Amino acid sequence: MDAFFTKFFPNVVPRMPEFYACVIQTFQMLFISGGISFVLSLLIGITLVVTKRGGILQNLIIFNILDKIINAFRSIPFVILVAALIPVTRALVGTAVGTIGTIFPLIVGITPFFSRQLESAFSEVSPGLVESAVTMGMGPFEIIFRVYLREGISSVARATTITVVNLMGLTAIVGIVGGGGLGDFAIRYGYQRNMLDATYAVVILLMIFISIIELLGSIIVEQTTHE
Amino acid sequence: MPEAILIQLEDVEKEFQTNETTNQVLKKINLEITQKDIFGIIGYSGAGKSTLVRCINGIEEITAGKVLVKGKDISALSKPELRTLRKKMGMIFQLFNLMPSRTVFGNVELPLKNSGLSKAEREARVRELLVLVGLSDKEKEYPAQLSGGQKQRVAIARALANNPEVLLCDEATSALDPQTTKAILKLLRELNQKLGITIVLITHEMSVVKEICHKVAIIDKGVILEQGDVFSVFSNPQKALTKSFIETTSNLKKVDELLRENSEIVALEPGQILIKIQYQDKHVSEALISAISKKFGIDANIISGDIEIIDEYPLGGLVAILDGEQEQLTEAITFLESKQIKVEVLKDGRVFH
Repeated sequence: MDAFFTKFFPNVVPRMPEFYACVIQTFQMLFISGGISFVLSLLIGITLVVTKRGGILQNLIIFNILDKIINAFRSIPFVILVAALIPVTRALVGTAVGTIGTIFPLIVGITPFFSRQLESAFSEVSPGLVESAVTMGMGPFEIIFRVYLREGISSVARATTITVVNLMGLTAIVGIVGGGGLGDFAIRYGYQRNMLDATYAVVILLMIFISIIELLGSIIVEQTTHE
Repeated sequence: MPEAILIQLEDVEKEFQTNETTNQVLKKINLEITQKDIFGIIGYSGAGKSTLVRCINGIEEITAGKVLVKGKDISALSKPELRTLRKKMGMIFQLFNLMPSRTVFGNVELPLKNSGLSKAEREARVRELLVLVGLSDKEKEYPAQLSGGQKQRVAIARALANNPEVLLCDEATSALDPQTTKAILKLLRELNQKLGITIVLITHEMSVVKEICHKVAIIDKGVILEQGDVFSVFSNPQKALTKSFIETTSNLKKVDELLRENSEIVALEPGQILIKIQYQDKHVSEALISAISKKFGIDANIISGDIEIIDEYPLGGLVAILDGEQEQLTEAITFLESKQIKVEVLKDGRVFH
């Protein structure tokens, strides 16, 4: 086995501790920024659905403000957003480099996308279900928890899977501000020092991660769909 | 003692504003729904009937007029008060609107959450409701595993969870086949009798109104054309639309076509007459045909008939060819008319001297 790795990944094997560290950094970025963004996006996604025209708490001012902010942020390419956020990141977390420094730009980068995904996930909840909840005498918060969040679970799982895959892509990009992670590893060794096997090692590992995430996503979707 | 008025609509109007046009969906609607009534509101799609029923539980806000429930103006209610009121007004829908992620049990339990009942009390109530609608064996199934009729039964159980005084039915049988429709209507009638619940039923099918309603209102383009108890509206329709609704479920009209086509069936021998007789009042069923046959020596050949029991009285009529002595025929017609039967001579083969 060792012989196999040494033969096909001659530049990775001697750097295994660094490679492991990069895997851990990638997971840190993914889970911390993904977790925080999930909570924010749920709030924003629900707010969009309930405040839009015909929503249970229709408020077009709030809806339009959120809608425009999301569009504005989504129009900025992520690499530029990271650079533009450096002063804010530094003010917030004290540093704009390293894994810690990447969390904030990752959250800002993924939340607009995630919110849109969740908005459309909640929009899939049939208006008839919401109407029947209203006729039962449920209040807005009961409807959010007992109808939107509950009936939207499988759509939320689908949206989350897509977002996590996207977020994985963003974690590779933040390597440019010294964020570390697998993307950084592939660029530094594979690209800049022309060690192609380093790139392939990263590619294979990422493909495995993504497959696992998609599998988990589809299991949740299947478990929560009763049709 | 007459039952009290439960729901009253006074000059209710509803407009929908789209960018530049105003669409007036309901115009000066006046309705009174008495306790324990089964009140049908019938109209073609787009007539405003779904909007009308949603004004009763305040899902649609009215533009003008008043909706009074037990004498209280619902537009004066605060949001929490309105929610409390809705708990006492169950509603069922054409497409059932069951929560797909919840089991039958979970769906019926849903309106009981936050009602102050303990878990055990809720469970007992859900089981009681499932027995009432005949679905005790399905409590663990998901809506997707049920047939249309079963889904509507779950929806009915759910709507009854908080012991409502009114059940609003929005085209509740329109997605069901005729047999299932009958079964659901039977259940609604039983609930009306057993629980004394008032039922407001929106439909485009005259057969539904015939089957269970006591009172009916015919709505078209946002206006109530006619209303009253089902028997009088049916036996004596005033407006063309009412007549057209009634004809959708009656086959007495068929004879007109036969006459136009000069069909063999309605061909008369000299001396015969072709008549249409129709019940007009709440009659106790009498042996009218055999009476004229015995009394006046008339042979009656029944061509077609359509007699139904509406609100416990026969309604409808017969088309028949009568054969007999001329004077006897004339007397027979007078006899029928004296019994409050509407007689129309469609074709006359009598030769008058």
